[in-house]
Amino acid sequence: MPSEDPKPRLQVLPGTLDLMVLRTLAAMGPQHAYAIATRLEQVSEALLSLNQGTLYPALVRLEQQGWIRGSWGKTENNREARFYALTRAGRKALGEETARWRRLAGLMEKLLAEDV
Amino acid sequence: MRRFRARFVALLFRRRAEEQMAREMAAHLALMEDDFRRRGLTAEEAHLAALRAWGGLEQSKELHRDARSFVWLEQLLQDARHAARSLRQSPSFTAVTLLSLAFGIGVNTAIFTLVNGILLKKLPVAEPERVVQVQAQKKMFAAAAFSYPAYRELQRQTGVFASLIAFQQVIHLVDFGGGPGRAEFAFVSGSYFSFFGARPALGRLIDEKDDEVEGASPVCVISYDAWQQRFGGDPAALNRMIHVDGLPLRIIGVAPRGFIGADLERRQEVWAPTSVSSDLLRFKRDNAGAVWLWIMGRLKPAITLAGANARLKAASPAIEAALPAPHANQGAVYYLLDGSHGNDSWRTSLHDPLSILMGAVTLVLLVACANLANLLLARAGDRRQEFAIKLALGISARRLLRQLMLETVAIALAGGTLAWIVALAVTRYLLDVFNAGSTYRHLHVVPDASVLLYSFVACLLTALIAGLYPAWQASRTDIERRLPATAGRGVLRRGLILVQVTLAVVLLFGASLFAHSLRKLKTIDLGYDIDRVLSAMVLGSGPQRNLRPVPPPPQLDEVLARVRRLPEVEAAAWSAMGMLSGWSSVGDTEITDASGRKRQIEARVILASAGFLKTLRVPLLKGRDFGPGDRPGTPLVALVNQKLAAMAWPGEDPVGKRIPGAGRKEADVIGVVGNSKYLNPREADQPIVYYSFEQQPGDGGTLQIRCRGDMDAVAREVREIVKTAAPAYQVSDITSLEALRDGVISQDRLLAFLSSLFGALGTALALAGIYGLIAYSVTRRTREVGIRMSVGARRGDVLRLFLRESALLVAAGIAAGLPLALLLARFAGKFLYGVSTTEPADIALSLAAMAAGGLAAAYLPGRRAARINPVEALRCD
Repeated sequence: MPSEDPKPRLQVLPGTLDLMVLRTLAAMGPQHAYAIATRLEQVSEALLSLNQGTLYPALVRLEQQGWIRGSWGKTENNREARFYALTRAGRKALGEETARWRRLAGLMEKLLAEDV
Repeated sequence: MRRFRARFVALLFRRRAEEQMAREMAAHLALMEDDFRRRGLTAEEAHLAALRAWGGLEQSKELHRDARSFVWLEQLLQDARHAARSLRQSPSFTAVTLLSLAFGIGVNTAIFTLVNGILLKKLPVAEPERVVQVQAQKKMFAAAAFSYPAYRELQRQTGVFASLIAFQQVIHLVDFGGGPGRAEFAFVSGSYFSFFGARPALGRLIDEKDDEVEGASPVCVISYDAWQQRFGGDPAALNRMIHVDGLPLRIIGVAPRGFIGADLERRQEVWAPTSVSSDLLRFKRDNAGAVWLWIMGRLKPAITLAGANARLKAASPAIEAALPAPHANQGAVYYLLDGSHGNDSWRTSLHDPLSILMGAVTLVLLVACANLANLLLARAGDRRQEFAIKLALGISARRLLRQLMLETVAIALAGGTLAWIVALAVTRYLLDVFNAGSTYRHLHVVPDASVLLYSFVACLLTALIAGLYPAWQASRTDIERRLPATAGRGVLRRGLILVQVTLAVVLLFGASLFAHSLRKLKTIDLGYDIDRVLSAMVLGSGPQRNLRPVPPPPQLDEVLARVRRLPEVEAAAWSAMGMLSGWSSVGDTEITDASGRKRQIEARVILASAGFLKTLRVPLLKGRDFGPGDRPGTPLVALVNQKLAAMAWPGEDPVGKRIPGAGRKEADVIGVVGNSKYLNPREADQPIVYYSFEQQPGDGGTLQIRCRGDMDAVAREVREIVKTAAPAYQVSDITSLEALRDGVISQDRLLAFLSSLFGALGTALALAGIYGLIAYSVTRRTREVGIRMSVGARRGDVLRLFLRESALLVAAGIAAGLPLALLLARFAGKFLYGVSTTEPADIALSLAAMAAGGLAAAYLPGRRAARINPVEALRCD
């Protein structure tokens, strides 16, 4: 099916969403799911096709691994929301995951830069 | 790992996790709506826009659950609840399947309980493979019982045993303080308890010191259960005196809870050292002529069974040489058997009957399994609309399959639970049947963990075998046509019925053979009449009773005179060693034949008082009976039976011949009596010699009492008479000869009872199958019946239509079952008495029963079809 959109939206690469969430929380401090999703869309300049609901499995996984911790709080508009904060283990994991991703990305870059 | 735990927590606290999730997502949506409203949308538009941006609320919830927990497990629980609901909705189906499983698996578990307890279980000791049982090959037979001196010599001369134990287990009259009652009792060597590594629950256990000097340590150990039941678990039981056959023994300790000892099939209540045995038995412990102990040992670590056997064989002559004369060890060659299963009280003798029963009960389970499969097939047929709807609504075929299998497993587990109740009741009843009339030992078996595992596995296998195909088929239901995918389901159902009928024929034939054989054993002419005869063992009581001079016979005379005066008593007499009692006395009788040659005939010996023949109705064929004139001091007299007469003096008149009597004197043969079965109805006629009880008084005897009134009342009065007229004696046991006979043929009764039960169960299940099939067929063919009737078929024709369907199945089942039954009957051959394995009467009986049952099972639904109103039938779809 040919796309009419000149800039086709990207699907989230499997396994990368967790890193994105960790990175966002590290950059912005404790955030609720909606803010995380909005931030991801902004950063990607709306390139990333991200249904709000798909964020949740990542949040559940990260919380169960003990990398983030959620707690109920109030937004500036006095709405209730669950805020996720990076834990110490999460910060360490972010470092490892970032390094891993850079190695992987570097490798891909090198491969693709070769003349065909 | 951490995540794994978290997922389990989420599974357990599912509701809280769900609430949390819903709340969070709702909050999330609210924030989005706020944003959209801020951009100028109305509340409603904002709501829709938020949902759109979300992209499927329910899907994301599923994703959430997926990540959060184990979805498959969550669904499994859901499906299990669904299965339970679905089963509750069809109670009759559930009831029938539960019952066939409860009985199918119940009797199976009961038999396995016996197989496990008697054949499979091993001694609860370290390395049971190193435990051995001592035997000896003698001239004529293999011996399993030995004298005490032989036990000592085995220990001293072989060097292969790390430890050796000797024991004898017999039911005795034990008085724990509340009056004498029968209890399993054992004499044990001092090594016994340490052999099993037992630690006392209270006090101490019997040790080598207790067993050292004969008569020096009149002590005993009681079982934990006896302590609890007889003394309420009171520590003050220690040092109390109990009486075993009148002999006082001091309790020095309580065996550990659950202690079994050398014999896994029996449960002792009291153990005493062999050093007190001479106070209870009729000989000194050092007597090498008395064989009464079983011997088991543990091999030294470096020694193999073959090596030990070689050593034992080499040491056998030295053992014999060391035994004091007279000994019962002539030419004995000692050898060892595997003892890992403990002492062999029944293992060898019950091995084959149990194998047959296990086979038969497996057939019953197969019939039940086929029944279950059939019911499930029929149910799947009835539910095809439900399946079609479920599949149309998007349930995966896989999940439907799983739901249906779960239903089957739920049935199997519920049926398995009921089966336990059946199994416990059947086991209990079997043991009662088996032990009834056994005066000296009781079989004791209880189900354990391996039995539980067995029945659990049997349940699951049954569910799997019976349920897999119907469930698989249902999961492939064609949505459009609302029909299960596979054609030929009728063929499958008929095939299952055929299998059921075939197996039922085999079971019926087996049952018929065993019942027939038992009937023969019960009606066989024993040579005497056991109807309404009590047999009361009366023994001298108290310590040293066997070592004191022969007690005054007047006491026993007085007992007999008083018993005879009882109004309910028709006749009574003394004998020593009663018929069918399990005890016998055998001696070599020296015969001088016509040519003056002397030879020995091994004959059974009975001491009988005057009136014995009349009491038991043993026919006197020649000469005279013992009379009042035959007293101590008058010439010794004897009777011989026909068999002995024919062996000793063929063609001559035995009356007037002389045979050895008591005390090196000769006895005159004064008469010839008919042959009798002495120990067992099965035995061939044995030579028997009867000596006068009055002329050879022993220490007690057996009162034979023919009653005309209430036998229980007579038994009570006899006990009372012995108590007052002969205080030096006590009644050890009163049983009817009929009960004794039943005890002797307990194995036959067990086989007949169980095979009948299995035959009845198998047949009932098969008939239920036929009934179900025909009933189903009637429902499906209602319209066809309507058409037939409207074009002139009569009710009889309709009935015949369905009867023929059943008759064909039964005929085919019989055709397949009969050859199989005849083939399998060969295994039963050696347990049958007077019945051949191709007995035509039994073939006819089992076939007729099957055929009649098959027609009856079809008649009920068939009659319903014949009553169909054709007009209504044509209207139905």
